[in-house]
Amino acid sequence: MKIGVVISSTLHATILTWGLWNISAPKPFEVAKVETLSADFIPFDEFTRSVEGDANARKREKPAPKETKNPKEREPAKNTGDTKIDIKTKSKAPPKPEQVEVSAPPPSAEVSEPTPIIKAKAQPEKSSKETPVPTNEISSLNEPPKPVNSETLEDSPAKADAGQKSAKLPEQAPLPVLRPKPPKAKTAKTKQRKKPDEIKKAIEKASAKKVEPSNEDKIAALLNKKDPSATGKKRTTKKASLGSEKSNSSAKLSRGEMDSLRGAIEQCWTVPAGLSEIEDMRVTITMNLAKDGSIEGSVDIKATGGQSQTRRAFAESARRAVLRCAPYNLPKAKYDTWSQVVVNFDPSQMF
Amino acid sequence: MPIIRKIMMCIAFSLILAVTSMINFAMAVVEIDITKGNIEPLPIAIADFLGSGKQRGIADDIGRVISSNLKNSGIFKPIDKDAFIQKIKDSNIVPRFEDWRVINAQALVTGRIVRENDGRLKVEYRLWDVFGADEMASQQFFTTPRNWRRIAHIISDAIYKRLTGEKGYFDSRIVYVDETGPKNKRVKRLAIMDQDGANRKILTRGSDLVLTPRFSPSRQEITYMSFEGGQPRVYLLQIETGQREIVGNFPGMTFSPRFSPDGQKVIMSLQIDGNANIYTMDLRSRKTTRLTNTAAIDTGPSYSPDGNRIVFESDRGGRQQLYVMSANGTNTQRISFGNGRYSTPVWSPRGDLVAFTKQSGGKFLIGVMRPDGSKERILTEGFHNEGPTWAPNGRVLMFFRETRGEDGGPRLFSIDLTGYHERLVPTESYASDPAWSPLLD
Repeated sequence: MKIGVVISSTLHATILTWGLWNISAPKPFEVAKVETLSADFIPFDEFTRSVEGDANARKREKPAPKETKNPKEREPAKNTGDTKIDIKTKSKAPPKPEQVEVSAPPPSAEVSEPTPIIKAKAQPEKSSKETPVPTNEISSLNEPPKPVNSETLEDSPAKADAGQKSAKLPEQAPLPVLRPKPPKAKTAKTKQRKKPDEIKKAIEKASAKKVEPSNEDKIAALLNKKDPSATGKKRTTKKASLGSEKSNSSAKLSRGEMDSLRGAIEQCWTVPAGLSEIEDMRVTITMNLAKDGSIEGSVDIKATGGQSQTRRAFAESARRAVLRCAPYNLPKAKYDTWSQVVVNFDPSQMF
Repeated sequence: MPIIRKIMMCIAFSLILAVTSMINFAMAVVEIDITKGNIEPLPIAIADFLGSGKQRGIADDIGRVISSNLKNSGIFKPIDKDAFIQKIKDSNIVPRFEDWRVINAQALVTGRIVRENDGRLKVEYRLWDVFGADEMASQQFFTTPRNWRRIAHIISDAIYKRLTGEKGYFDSRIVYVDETGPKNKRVKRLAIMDQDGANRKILTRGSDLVLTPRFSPSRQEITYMSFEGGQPRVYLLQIETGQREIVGNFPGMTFSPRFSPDGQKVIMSLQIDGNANIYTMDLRSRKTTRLTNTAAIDTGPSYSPDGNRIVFESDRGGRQQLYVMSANGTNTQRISFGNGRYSTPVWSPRGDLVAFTKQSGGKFLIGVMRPDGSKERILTEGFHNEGPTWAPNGRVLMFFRETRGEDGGPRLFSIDLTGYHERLVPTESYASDPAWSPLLD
């Protein structure tokens, strides 16, 4: 019995002593001292405006992403042909397509109807003499025209038409869709009419020499579908800059700035407590502020609700509040925004 | 036709212009809503009233009384004179507002006292809007020097009214029960004083127990209950002459009297056997009319300011609750539905609220509710608060609060409707059952 007690008490004492030293209070949780940062919440659009700009440019007054340039105006179509694009190079390729058109309007998918007909009437004789080479060459590029060309060259235009219709109908099926482009055809038409000799010469040259440039142009045109000057951003003539030195003048006051303005006026406003019907009264004060934040001229007061005496007292308390708070500490850069301030006093929630 | 078309085009164009210019205008405006403010008292500077010779002392006193009135209202905070930068030397010259703005005074009172050739005093004051740099009010009064205190109260009322839009209540008096002696042997006497505690006067000798004094709205008259002759009865007392009379010749005991708003009638309870009903007595014709007829205790009647309705307490529903009925005793409706017992209803002189005492949770609370029973608000609570009475402007209540213990006793307190400004009304001894007079004329 005694031994048991001794053993028990010894063991208890040992465990307690051990526990006393080892299972002591945990170390206090230390928190590193960190300086608090003040965060200002601004609306998304303001943020977007403030960071727009070119990262490689220097700061300027207003942020601008990239200087845009006027897209070079395309010169009026000088050439006709089955390319979609006017080709700058002086290659005389286009005239050849004309030939093609003359002979076979439908296959040259891009060219609208009217032209061929006119051409067909105007040029059959001239072209018939010299076309063979070009037509062949072109036909090597564009498979379908081939047979047509040969036919037209041989027959009169009217015949050719008839022949086309009968022979090539299936191939020409898509044509009707492309018809509604008369204007282009007109210009082409007029030009051609004006200078039949030039065309003639051009055709001669082109047929005599290589047609490769026109191929390159075509390929280039195919690859370069996108107009380089057309970007998503609206046009601007401003130099590219990285953000702006001062904030955008059209920016709104940030939430923080609005809150501090509100807080200041709330502090300045001694509410005439205990006024009867105070919860029904409203006062709107409109004031014009100068750049230094002081009030310019007199303030405009509109009060509603309550009895005339109490309403006057209430309106005056509001006026005292805005007068007492001046000058207002607002960001000068955004002066355009706060040149006029409207303050609505609404005590309905107070009592 | 083409002319009409042109005109139409012009109108359309100008409309578009107007709309776009409005849009631009709207964009350049910051609009904020202020939904809270500071409910601290309004800082006001009360410059020394100017006066020379004998008037110097009165001038100082008037300034002091105005200052204390405004401060006690809880709505104003008179600025310490030591802080003043400008010393007003001539009350007719526009003060240097910037000096007063620096010490954040929102309003400034200046004034002076001149002794007229006939011995009367001319007291004038001006109230300035410091931030608006404008004079808000100015008045002058002529009176005998003895009457300076009333002039101070009247000026206080004018300032109060100009700055709050509410009528003041400083030029008024309080009738109350003055209590002296040990608790088991209290001597209760009727007393009257100015609302700020000055000019106290004892009206009864104290040989009999007096309770519930009430002011007449139209004359210097009081109605109260006294145990004179062993039985509680309602009496009428002329303040100036001290003349007394019993109201009505009823067989039972009458209590809880109050005047009608026109001062022509007294409304009270008459108890016969176990139950009490409400009666009125016309003071001219002495004709009595019974308004309630129940087996319960109906008491504490109080007229609405237009005299058309009466609020009273009754235990007809089992517990004391508040009821409203028409002045002829019909259309009775219960208005209090909260937990606890409601008693001593008083209709506000403005008619918008009914003040009451509520017993709930072992405490006595003073509160207000609308006459339809809505918007109940408790203004103060404590061991024993009772008997609210309205200031003439209906913005402040006075009541008495009793402290516990052998040496405890009742004191008068006032509280404004916001519940923020409670203060002790100084009396020489214990005081209970206050009743506020209307504004003096």
